[in-house]
Amino acid sequence: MTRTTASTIYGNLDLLVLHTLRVEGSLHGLGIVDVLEERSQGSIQVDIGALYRSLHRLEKHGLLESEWRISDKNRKANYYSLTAAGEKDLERTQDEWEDHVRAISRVLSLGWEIGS
Amino acid sequence: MSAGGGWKRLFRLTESAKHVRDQVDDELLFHVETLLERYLAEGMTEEEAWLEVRRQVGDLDHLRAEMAAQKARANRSSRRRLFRDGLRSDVRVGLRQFRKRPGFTSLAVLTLALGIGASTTLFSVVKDVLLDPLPYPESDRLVYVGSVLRGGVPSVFTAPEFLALHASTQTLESYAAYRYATMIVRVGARPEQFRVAAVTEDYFAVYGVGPALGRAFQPDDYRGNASPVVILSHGVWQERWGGDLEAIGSMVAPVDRPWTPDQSPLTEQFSYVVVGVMPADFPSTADFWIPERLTGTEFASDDYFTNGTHRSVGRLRSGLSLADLREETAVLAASLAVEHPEYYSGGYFEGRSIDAISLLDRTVGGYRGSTLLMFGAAGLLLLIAVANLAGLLLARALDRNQEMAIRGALGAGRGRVARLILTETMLLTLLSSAAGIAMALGGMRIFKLLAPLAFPRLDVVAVDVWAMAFAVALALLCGLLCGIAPVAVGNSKRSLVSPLQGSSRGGERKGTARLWKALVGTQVALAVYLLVGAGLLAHNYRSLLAVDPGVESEDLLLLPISTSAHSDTEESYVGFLSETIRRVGAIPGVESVSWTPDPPLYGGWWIPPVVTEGMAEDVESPSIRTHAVGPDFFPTLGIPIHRGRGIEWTDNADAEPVVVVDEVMATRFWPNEDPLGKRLRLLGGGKGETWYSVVGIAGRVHESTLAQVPTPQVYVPSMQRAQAYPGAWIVIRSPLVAHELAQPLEAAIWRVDSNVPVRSLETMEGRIARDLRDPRFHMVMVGSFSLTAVLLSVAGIYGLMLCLIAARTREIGIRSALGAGTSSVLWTVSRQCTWLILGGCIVGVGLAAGTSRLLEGLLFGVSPLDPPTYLAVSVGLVGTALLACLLPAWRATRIEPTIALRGE
Repeated sequence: MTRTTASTIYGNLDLLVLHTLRVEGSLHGLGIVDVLEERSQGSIQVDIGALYRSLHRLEKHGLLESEWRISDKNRKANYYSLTAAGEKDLERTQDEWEDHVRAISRVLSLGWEIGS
Repeated sequence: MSAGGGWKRLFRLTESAKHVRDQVDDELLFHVETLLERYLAEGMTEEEAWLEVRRQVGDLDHLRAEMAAQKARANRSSRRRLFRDGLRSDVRVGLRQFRKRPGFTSLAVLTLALGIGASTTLFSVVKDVLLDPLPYPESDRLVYVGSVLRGGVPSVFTAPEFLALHASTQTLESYAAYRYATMIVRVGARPEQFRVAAVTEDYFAVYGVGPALGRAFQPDDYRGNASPVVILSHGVWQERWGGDLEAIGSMVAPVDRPWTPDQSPLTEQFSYVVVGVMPADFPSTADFWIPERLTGTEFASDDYFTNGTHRSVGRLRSGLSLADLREETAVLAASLAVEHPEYYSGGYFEGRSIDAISLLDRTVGGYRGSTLLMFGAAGLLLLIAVANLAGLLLARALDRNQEMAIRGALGAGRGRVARLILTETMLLTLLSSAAGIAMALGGMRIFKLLAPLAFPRLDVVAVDVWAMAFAVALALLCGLLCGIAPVAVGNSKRSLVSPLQGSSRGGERKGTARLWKALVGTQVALAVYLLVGAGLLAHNYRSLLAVDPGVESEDLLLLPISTSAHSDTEESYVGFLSETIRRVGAIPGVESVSWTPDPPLYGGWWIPPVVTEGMAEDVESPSIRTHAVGPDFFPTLGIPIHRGRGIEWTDNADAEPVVVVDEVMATRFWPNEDPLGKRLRLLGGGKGETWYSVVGIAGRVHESTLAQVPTPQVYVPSMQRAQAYPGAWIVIRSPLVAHELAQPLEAAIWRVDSNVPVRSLETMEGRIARDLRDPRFHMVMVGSFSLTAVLLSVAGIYGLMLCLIAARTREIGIRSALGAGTSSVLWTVSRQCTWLILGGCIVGVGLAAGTSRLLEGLLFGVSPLDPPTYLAVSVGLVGTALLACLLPAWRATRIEPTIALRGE
């Protein structure tokens, strides 16, 4: 199994964070890590520094908002959730990403056909 | 996303740097600790768990620092953005409110704009006229010195007094005298009359202003044998020389010597070399300036000390004040009185002294008081507007309790709600200040249109940047004042809760209503106050309109004419004028013509002491205003002859000496006798021994203003006792209009003497209109302020009533349902407002009566406590206000009880 560090592709982490928060509602940093690792069945490993940088950056741009709440383990944690702007941004970047992926896989599959 | 999170975030406290660091630490700590717990739970040893966390997190300290820095940056910019966004959203909310309620918005803006417009207009006048310095360097050091009789204001000065002060002064740095004369110069073929000022050596030095072109007068110009020189005013230079630089060195050759008003030639010179041109902004009281040397020797006549034809200006030494100078002049006057007691005491000269005022006071003169009064009136109007707007905003605040409560529930703090309300009010006031400036610009045009002709410095008055800044500042101040009440209402703890809880609004509305009622009561009181002032001024104007000037002003034309070339002897003066009126009388359309040196309402007179038969001569003889007039004087002016006859062509030098007296004189001197045939002497002038018989009694006239009480007058035939003045007025009765007469008049006069300038004709109606201009101006200004004030306060009452009734609809319904009659309901509803109106009216009347002395100087023949005015104003205002109060109340009584009960 290949283990990929999500931050190696610039911008991917932001997309993944936004997407996770849309699906899961509000989460704290560790929660996001857990979800990502679980969804990718361990193939995505999140660099914590990169994660918090990403979270704070997205908050600064108004795509996320945060709130201190008591976690299920009865501890104070900072929960992040998507703002309306974040939602919009996610839609746009997701479309772009899918276009991007389609384009790349089309090229790759073409190469395979020529090669065969 | 939690409900209201957006709101809460907006109103979250701003975060300190320490707070930011703590938050970052907390967040990382939570992450790290949770991970550790998890690994321990998975069965790792503590060391293994730590290693695993370390692997994931990397350098923890570095991360902490980096994240804290990032977060602090974000925080700073977001705080700025939050404020900006908040303000922008407030402005947006405010503008949305305006759009949603255009009626309210335009009413509020108009209300405040009226007050601001009026205040800004008058502010400009006060600033430019009363406060701005005169256009001379260090003009606050300039003073005007003159003789005073019985504590008056210094006007003219005598040459000996000037010379005495000039020689002895310790307080004046420079000091100069000047006097005016007329000079006739041919412009092309037309002889024209110009005003000449003969000035002593330091004249221009006093003002600190020299010619813009050429040179000022030099000491050499004042030597006895100096060649005559002249300095031109900018106006004359532009008009007569076309602004040509070649004017310097050119010659001015009058057709005659310049003459002073007291019949003496100013100099014997007939031609002058132009040496300079004064700058355009030098306030020009003359067309030409010529040097004059005063030595004192030319005053060795009878009236050495009485001939006040000079004026004097000085510049105080720096550091000294007007008070120092006044002390000096008082001492000088006292020492002159010891030397010449005959000129400083007794009869006419009793209490004679020397005094000084600042040149600004001299320039602004009598208009200071009335200008400040109008400024005050504008200020009161503004106050009413503010009270009105505060009431409007209060009503609005009550209406918006619900909205504010919701905002509060969503997390908007009290400060935030206050900011929202204040932002809205500020937007309103900014709009108002813009509208107010527009009104001030318009108001200034009206002001200049109506202002008295003599109003000082009217050319420089303008609504300038300062005035606009004043308007904006005023608007913001008013906005703050008006904004406080609604903030208090919109932000009270209760109001944030209660509207959502239901309709428990009685108590809170009561407090607000009390405040609002106080505002309305204030408006009524101030409106009554202003209206009383306006009423008095209007009454004053009407009584002046009703004054009979004593002459028939319709079809009466007056032509000022220079007689300087013919005033050497009485014979030549009378000869010239008789020939002139003969020829003018022959012009078709001229019904009657005469002459007089001083027509009624134009002021000016000769006041010889008069002695009647049987009166001891050593007794202090009363000085009576005497006019030496031409034949047909009375029919021409339309002054009625009650008994006897007027002055005729036959009353010449060879005939029996006669006079006509007016009815005031007749009743004063001969109260129980027939004045006809009585004899009197007019002392002075070498003809004091002649006895004149009274042959007619004429109607009374106002000899200088409509406002003044007619005084005794004597008319003597000019052909028997002329005062050979250098000027006279040809008075003409003709239905023709001035421009139809201009040509034939010139032709007629130039056939007698082609060197006599013919100026433009004036009408007696124009003269009377000029007299009415001041009172009309004051009446219109204060009147329009007060009518606006009434309008505002009536609107205020109406609005208050609507709100009071809205709050009591239910009660009204119950009362009606229980069978209360219309009048009883009407009374219940309007009772409070009625007391408010009556109370406001009483306070306003009391205020007006208490400060009525302020108006004293502007009123003639009307007492500042004139009861009919007070009564009319009170009744009128109370009536109007009650109407505004009863109309909505009456409508309230028509409400169907069932609807009213369901309404809540």
